[in-house]
Amino acid sequence: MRDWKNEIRSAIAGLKLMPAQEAEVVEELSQHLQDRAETMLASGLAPPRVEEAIIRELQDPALIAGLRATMRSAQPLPPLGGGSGEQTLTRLSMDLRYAVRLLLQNPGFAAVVILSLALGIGANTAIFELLNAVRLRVLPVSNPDQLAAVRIVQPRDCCMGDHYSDHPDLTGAIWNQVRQRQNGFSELAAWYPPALNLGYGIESRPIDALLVSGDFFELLRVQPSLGRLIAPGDDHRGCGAGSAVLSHAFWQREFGGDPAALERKITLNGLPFQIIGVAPPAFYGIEVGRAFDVAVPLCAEAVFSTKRSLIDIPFAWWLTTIGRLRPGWTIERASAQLAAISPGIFSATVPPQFDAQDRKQYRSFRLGAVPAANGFSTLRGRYQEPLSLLLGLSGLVLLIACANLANLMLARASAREREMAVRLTLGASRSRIIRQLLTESLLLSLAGAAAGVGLAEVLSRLLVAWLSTQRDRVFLELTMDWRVVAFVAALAVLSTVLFGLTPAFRASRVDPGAALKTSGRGASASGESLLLRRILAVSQIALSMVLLVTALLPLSIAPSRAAIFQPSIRSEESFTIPTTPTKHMK
Amino acid sequence: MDRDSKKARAMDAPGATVKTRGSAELLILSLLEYRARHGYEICKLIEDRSEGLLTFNVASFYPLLYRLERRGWIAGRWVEKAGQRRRRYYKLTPSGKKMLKAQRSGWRDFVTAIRRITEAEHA
Repeated sequence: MRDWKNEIRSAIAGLKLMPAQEAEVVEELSQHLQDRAETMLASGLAPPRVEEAIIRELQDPALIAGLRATMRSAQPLPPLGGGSGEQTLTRLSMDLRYAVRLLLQNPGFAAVVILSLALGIGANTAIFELLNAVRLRVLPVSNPDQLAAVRIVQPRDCCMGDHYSDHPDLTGAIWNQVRQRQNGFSELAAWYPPALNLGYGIESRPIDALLVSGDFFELLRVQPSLGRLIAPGDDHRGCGAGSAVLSHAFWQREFGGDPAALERKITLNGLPFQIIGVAPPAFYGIEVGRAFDVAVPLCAEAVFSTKRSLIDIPFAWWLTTIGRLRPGWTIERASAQLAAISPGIFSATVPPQFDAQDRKQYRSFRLGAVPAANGFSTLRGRYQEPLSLLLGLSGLVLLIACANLANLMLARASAREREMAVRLTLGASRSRIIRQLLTESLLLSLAGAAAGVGLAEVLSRLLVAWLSTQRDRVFLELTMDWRVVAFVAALAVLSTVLFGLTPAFRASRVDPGAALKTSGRGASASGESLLLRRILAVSQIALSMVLLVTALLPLSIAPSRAAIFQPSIRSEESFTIPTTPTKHMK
Repeated sequence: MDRDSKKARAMDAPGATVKTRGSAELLILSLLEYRARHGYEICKLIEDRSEGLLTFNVASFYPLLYRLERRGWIAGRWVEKAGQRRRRYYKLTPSGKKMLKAQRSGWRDFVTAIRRITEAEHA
């Protein structure tokens, strides 16, 4: 008995139905026509007449017109890549909903993946947050790109004398000369960060102070949140124990944010200072890693000194400068001007204690301007390398996690072969399958990244606490800025690609026929899939070995190198000033 | 009267096309009210029960059947039975049942209205 399938297929070819849909229509119409032919033959109609009648039915224009009106609009989705933005969003939303449903059906699998990614992304983000705070973030002041510092740039390894801070760039005499002779800066200020004692006698405790010249706050365009800030009028020779400005955090911590603090005095190294104002909450100082508690005028240094004031000691290196470039001036132009006035400045400030050779060397020093938009930091030099190394190691951890998850996804893809086979049979394209699986991976990555960000907030604070000691508190502003957000987003996308792409490609290459035949007897991984999984397992072991060796290397090679990870080994000797200055005679 | 002559008379009757489409849907829905049937069975039943007055060919029947399915009034499903080819059986959906009830009511009103008019002419 003829089945008429070829005739039906050619009759409806113009409809361009999806293959699965066309196959169903052909099968159904074929059965109908076979039944009809049997009935007509049974009623005594001659075979040629039967065939003629059936051909006539198939050639009826109403068939294709009727099917076109019904079937065309029945197609659920437009083809991939040809839709508008709205259609793309609709499809993405459908993919996401489907992915959410699937993950809710497999909460154990989802939890394992999200937790693994959270650990990997969290560790990376925590370390990046520290690096960002130490290395990349600019000072919280207006137009930080206009800020620069003046220091001796030639020779780089200078200078003979006593050094009193982490950034001992200038002596008092040089500072006075620079202030008078420079032209590149519209404003120039000096500062010095001693550790002073708050309170009297045995109840006193160290705080982070900041001695600043009169135009320090004005130069930085910092506005007070209460009272006023130190002004040029407060900083004059012989000012004694005068005015003090509290940081916002200190004001909150010590005075409970009480505005009446302005009527009170604060005791620093046993001397009373009148509180005149409170700095804004965002301003922690200009030193990365150290927040100030109290700022007093630079001239007050004399009252803390038991002998000569540092400003009068020609070989006491204790001041750091910061200046705002004049409009139209660049760092290079300011440096050139400073270099030009350097011989005059150093000739005028030669310490009388120096012998002839030291004097000659001193006179050869050259001043220059260096960018200060990122503030000043000893942490930068001390921790940048260890943090970069840690970031590399945690990157390896994330890589291992991704390899592990890729293995998990490959195993899951094997278990989902029947689903993929059915979707391919129903007309889904390979790209459609890959997109769906990548959407699932992206959803997992985003959930892992969200959990990782939460974990990073805890980890980064733990790391900062680990870097701090009782005597040397480390303050880092660990807020999520655009760099951290971009870093997390990049990690999420990278993770998606690393653990989702290969399993997605693998799953889309399933042979529908073979998969459907074996589905009833349980899915089994193919040779290619097993090979991929073995490669991933070997990669994991190799990366783990690299990680292990890298982690043990600093400890095994030289104990001194391990010291970079030990925050307790640091030489901070500026607890009190200037009774015990650190002497680095070079 | 033989089937062909009945069919010819029915098609020649004035106003026959007025209710053709609506009535075809009603016929299909009615035949699926109590049990699922495949396409050829539905066609054959219509032809037999109308004694050849109403017939469908594949060109007129299947577009209509698919349209009813697309509207959600009937649902098709491939069924395999031992020793037989698999066939696509259609059954009435809950919304199809509501539609059948509404169409039956409308058809009854239509027939009543026609009868009243035609009987009034003869009264």
